Amino acid sequence: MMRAVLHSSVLLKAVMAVSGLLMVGFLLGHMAGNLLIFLGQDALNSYAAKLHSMPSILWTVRIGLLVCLLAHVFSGIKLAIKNRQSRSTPYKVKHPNASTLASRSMAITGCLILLYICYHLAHFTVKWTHPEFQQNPGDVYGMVVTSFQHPLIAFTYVLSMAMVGAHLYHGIKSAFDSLGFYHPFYSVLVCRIAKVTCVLLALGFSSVPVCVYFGLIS
Amino acid sequence: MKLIFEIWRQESPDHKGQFKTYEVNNLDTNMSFLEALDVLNEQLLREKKEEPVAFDYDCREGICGMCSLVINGEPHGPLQGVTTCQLHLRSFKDSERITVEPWRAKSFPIVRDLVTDRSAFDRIISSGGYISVNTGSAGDANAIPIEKAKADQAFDVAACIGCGACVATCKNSSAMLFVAAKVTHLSALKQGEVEKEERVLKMMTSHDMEGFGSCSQTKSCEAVCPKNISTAAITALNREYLRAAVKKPQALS
Amino acid sequence: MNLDGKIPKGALADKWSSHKFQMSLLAPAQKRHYKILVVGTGLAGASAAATLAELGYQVEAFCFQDSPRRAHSIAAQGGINACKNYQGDGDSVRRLFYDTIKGGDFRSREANVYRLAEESQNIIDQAVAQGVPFARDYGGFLDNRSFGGAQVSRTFYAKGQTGQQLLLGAYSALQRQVARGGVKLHTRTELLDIVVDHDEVKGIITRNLVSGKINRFAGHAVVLATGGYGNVFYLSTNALGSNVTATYRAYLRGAGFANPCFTQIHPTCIPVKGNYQSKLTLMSESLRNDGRVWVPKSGDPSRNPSQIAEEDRDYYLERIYPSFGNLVPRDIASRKAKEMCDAGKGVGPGGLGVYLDFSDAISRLGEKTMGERYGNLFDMYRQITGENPYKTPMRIYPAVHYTMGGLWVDYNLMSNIRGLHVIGEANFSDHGSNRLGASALMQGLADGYFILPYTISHYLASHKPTLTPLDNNLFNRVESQVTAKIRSLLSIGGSRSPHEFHRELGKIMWNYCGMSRTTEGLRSAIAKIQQLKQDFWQDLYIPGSAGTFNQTLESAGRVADFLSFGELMCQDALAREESCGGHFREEHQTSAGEAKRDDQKFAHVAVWQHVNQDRGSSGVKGDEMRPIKTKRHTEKLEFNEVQLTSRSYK
Repeated sequence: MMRAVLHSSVLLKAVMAVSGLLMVGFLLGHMAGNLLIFLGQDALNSYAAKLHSMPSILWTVRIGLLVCLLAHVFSGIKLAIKNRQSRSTPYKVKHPNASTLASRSMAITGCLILLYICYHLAHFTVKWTHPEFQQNPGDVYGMVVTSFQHPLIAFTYVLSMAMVGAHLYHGIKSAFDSLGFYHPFYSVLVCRIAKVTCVLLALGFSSVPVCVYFGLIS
Repeated sequence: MKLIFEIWRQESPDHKGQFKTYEVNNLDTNMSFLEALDVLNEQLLREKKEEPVAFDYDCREGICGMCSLVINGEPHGPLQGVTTCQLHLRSFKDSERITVEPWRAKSFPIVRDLVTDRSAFDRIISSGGYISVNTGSAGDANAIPIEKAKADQAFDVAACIGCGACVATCKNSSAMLFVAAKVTHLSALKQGEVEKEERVLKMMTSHDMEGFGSCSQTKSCEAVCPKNISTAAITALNREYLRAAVKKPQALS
Repeated sequence: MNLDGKIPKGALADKWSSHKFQMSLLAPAQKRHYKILVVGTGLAGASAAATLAELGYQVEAFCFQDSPRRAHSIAAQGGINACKNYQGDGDSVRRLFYDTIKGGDFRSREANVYRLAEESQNIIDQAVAQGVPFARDYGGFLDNRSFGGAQVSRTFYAKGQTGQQLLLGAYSALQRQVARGGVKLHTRTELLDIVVDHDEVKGIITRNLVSGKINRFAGHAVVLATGGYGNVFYLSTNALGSNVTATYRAYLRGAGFANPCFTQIHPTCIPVKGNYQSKLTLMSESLRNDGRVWVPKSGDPSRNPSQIAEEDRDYYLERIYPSFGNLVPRDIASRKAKEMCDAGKGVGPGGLGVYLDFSDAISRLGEKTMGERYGNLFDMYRQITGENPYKTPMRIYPAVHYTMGGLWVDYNLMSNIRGLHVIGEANFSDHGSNRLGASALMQGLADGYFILPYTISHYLASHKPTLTPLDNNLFNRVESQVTAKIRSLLSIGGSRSPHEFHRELGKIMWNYCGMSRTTEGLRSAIAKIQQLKQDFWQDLYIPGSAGTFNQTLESAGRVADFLSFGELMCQDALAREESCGGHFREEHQTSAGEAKRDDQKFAHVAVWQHVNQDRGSSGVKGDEMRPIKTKRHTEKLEFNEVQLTSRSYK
C-alpha cells in the first residue's frame, strides 16, 4: 500500500491536497491570533500565555503541522522530480496556454515559503535570530513590534505573505480538484471562497508588519 | 502571403536536433497550415538541398488525431477548439515568423523532425480503456436504458481524438486529460460500471509508468484541447481513483 | 478465373443461418495454432482482429498510421443503419435488404445484402455493450434519424461523429486483445506485397515506415481491410494516407478486382480553393433540406451573389426535378452540378461550384433556428472558407468519398486467392453501384465482427497448421521484387515530386472517369495516364533513402500504384456500356438525361484479372512503366427475390 502511494501521482497529489488544506486551516487560526495585536498588548500576550498553558494541545498541533509539512514537502519534491523528468527538451517558445503564473510557479513559491517557515521558526519560536527575546518570552507583543520596526524584517515578512497568497491562490482550488471534488455549482463557489481566503490570509498576515513599520502599532 | 518558418529538424531519435529557418512565398490565406508546409516541402524538393520536413497528418478534417505541431508555443496553433489541419493562414500576419516545434514529452519520443511516437496512448488504452465484452455476448442494445444526460456527458468526453495536445502543453507532460476522458466516458455508462475500479487504477498505473507527469490543474490542457474536453473530467478521475483505491487497495499494486 | 460466389442453397432468409451451421469449425485448442494477418485497422480490420483474437487465433494486425485509432473510418459522420425497428415504423431485415439492393441500382448479390441486413442488428448491440455513446432520447432509449434512400428511421448516430465512436469501440476491443497477447500490433507499417503460392496466400511483405526495414510475415490466412481507393482522384474526402497499394498489389498477384469504376461522389462538399489544396471536406447532405441550389442564368458567374437578381438565378434542381427538388439522390445532384459548371455557369474560383443558398430558410425560420439545426456545419464552412454562410450563400461542389468497387470476394469474403480474405470498403462489397448513406459503417462492422470470424474458420479447418518458413524461396522472391521496386523509385533521380504526378492523375480521373464518362473521354484518359506513368518513372524525384522515415518514398509507392490502378478503373468504366448508380455513361441515358441500366448485358460483376500474374509487381522500371495487361471476367448476378426496376425522381 505504502509503495502504491509513493508511485501513484494521484495519491501523491491527494497527500499534498490533504496536508495543504490542513495547513490552510492552521493559517486561518494563526492569523486570527495575530490580529489580536490590534486589540493591544494584553490581548495578544494573554492569548499567547493561554496557548502555552496547554502544552498537550500545543504539541499535538505542532507535531500535526510538522507531519503535514513533511508530507507536503516530500510528495511535492517527489512529484516535482517526476514532472521535471517528463520533458527533456524544453520548448523554444513559451506560451502560458491559459495557465496562471501562480499555477506555474507552485514549486518556486513552495520552496520560498519553506525557507520562510525555517526563518520564521528561528525568529519567533526558538528565537535564534534574536537571542535577546529569550529574556522576556511572554511578551509576544514586544517581540513583534521590535522586529517589524526593522525594515528588512518587515519587508521579508510581507514578501513571504505574498508568496503564501500566490501559493494558495492556486493551491486551495487545486487541492479540491486533486481530491475529486467537482460539482457544477458548488465547485464555482469553492473556487471563489478559495480566492477570497488566500487574499484574506495574505492581507491579514501582512497587516501586522505593515502597521508596525509605519508606526500604527507601537 | 509570405511566412517565415522556424522549424525543428531532427533526423532521427539518435541525432541532435536544431531549428532551421525557411522562407515560403506565394502562400494563400485560404491555405491550411499543413498545406503551407506541403508548399514548403515541394520547395525543398525542388531545391534538392534538404529533405522535406517530416510531419504527421492523415484525415485533414480534424478527427483522426494524427496531426500535431506546437505553433508559436501553442499546440494546434492559436485557434481554440481546432486541430492543426483545420488552422488556416488567415490566422497569421503576412511575413510573420512562426516557430514550429514537435510535441515535447519524454513519453512521446521524436521519430523525425516534427513526428513523434505516441504509442504510449495505445498502451494506456490497452491497460484498461475498454469494456470487457467479447463479440457476440452483448444483449439487446435497448435492454439497458441510459439517462440522456449521462449519454451526452459520455459523448462529450468520448470525443477525445488522442492527439496528445494535452501532454504537449502541460508543464508536467501529464496525460491525465486523455486518461480522464476515457475513464469518465466508460464509467458514465451502465455498461462500464462493472470494471470501473479496476479500470481507473490500471489506466493510471499505466499512465504513471509511461513517464507522464502528474496534474497540476493549470487547465492549459483544456485550453488547447481541439475537442474542448473539460478538466472537470480530471477531477472526476481523481474522485474515481481515490474511491477505487480505498475500495480495492489490493488492486493498486 | 474461378468466380464461384459460393452462395448457399436454400431460401434467402435461411441462407446465412444454414451456412453457419454447415461450415466446419475449429476447436478452441486448435485455433491457437493458426496465425491470421490482418492488414488495416479501421472498422472492418479492428473488429475482425479483435474478434479473431477473442476466439483464440494468433493475430497480427498492421496499420500505416501511428495508431489503429486513426484509421479513416473515424471520419464517418452521419450514422450507421440497422433494422432494429425501435421506432416501430415498419422496418425489417427484408426492408433494409430491399432498400440496399435498390439503392445500389441492382448491382450487388442478394444473398450478401440479406446477410448484411440480418447482422446489422447485432452490430448495434455489440457497439452499445462496448460503450459507444449513441444518441438517446429522454427515456434513455436509443434514438434514430432518417437518411437518404429509406422511408424508415433506422440510422443510429453519435452526433456527427458516429464513425469515430464506433471505431474507438472496435479499437478498444483490439487494444484489449493486444494487452492479452492475442494480437500483435504493427503500427506505422505498410503492406507492400503478398506472398502467393499456387493461388494460396502464404504471407505478406511489409515495410516499417520508421526504420524502412522490409519484413516478412507468414500466416495461414491474410485479411485485407485496407479501405477504398478514392484517392486515385487525388482530391477526395478520404484521408491523405488512404491508398490502393494493398489491394492493387494483391490484384497483381492474381486476385480479381471487381467493379473498380464504381465510385460514389458526394454532392455537398466544400469546393476546391486552389492548386495547393490537399483534401476536400464533406458537408452533411442534410443541408439540402433547407438550402436551395442555384447558379446564375447568364452573365459573369464570378459576380457577387448578392448582385444577382432573383430572376437571374437558375434553381436548376427545382426546375428539372419538380417533385424532389433539392433532395434528389446524391449521384443526380452531383451530376447536375457538374453539368452546370461545364456549361460555364459555375461560381467561385475556377468556376467549380454552385450556390447552396439558405437565405429563404433564414428569412423564414430566423438565424437562430438555422443555427440550432446547422450551426456546427456553418462554423466548419466558415473556418475553411472564411465566408459567413448566414450572410452569403455557401459554395458547394461534388467530391469523391467512397468506392464501391474492390477485390472480388465470394460469400465467405475470400478472394479468388485461397486464404486471402477481403473485408470492409476494400472488397467489392454489398453496395452495388451506389452506396446508401450510413451503410458503410454497417458493412465494415458486419464483415469484421460477425461474418469473417465464422467463414475464416471454415477455411482454416481444411488446412494443416504449418506455416511457410520465412526463409522459403517464395518469400525471398517477393521481397526482392519489393526492394527492387523501392530501389527503382529512388534511382529515377528526376525533378518532380510524387504529389505533382498524383495531382495530375487526379485531374485526369476527375475529368474523364468522374461523375460522367464517355467512350472518347475514357480512351483519352487511358492514353494520358499511360503517358503520365512514363513521365513518372522517368522524372520522379525522391530525396533521402529507403532506410529512414521517408514520407516522399511512401507516397511515391502509393502514387505508382494509383497510376496503374487509374488505368484499370478507366478500362472498367469503358467496358461497362451502361449507366448505373454512380457510374454514368453519357451514351447510356434516357431522353430526360437519367441513368439507363442495361440489365440484359450488365447485370453482372465485372472482375479484372492481371494477366502476367506470376510476375506480380516485378519492381523493374521497364516493367512498371508498361501499360497494364488485363482480362475481364464476369460473375452473373441472379435476382430471385427483387424485381429490377428503374429509378425516377421527377
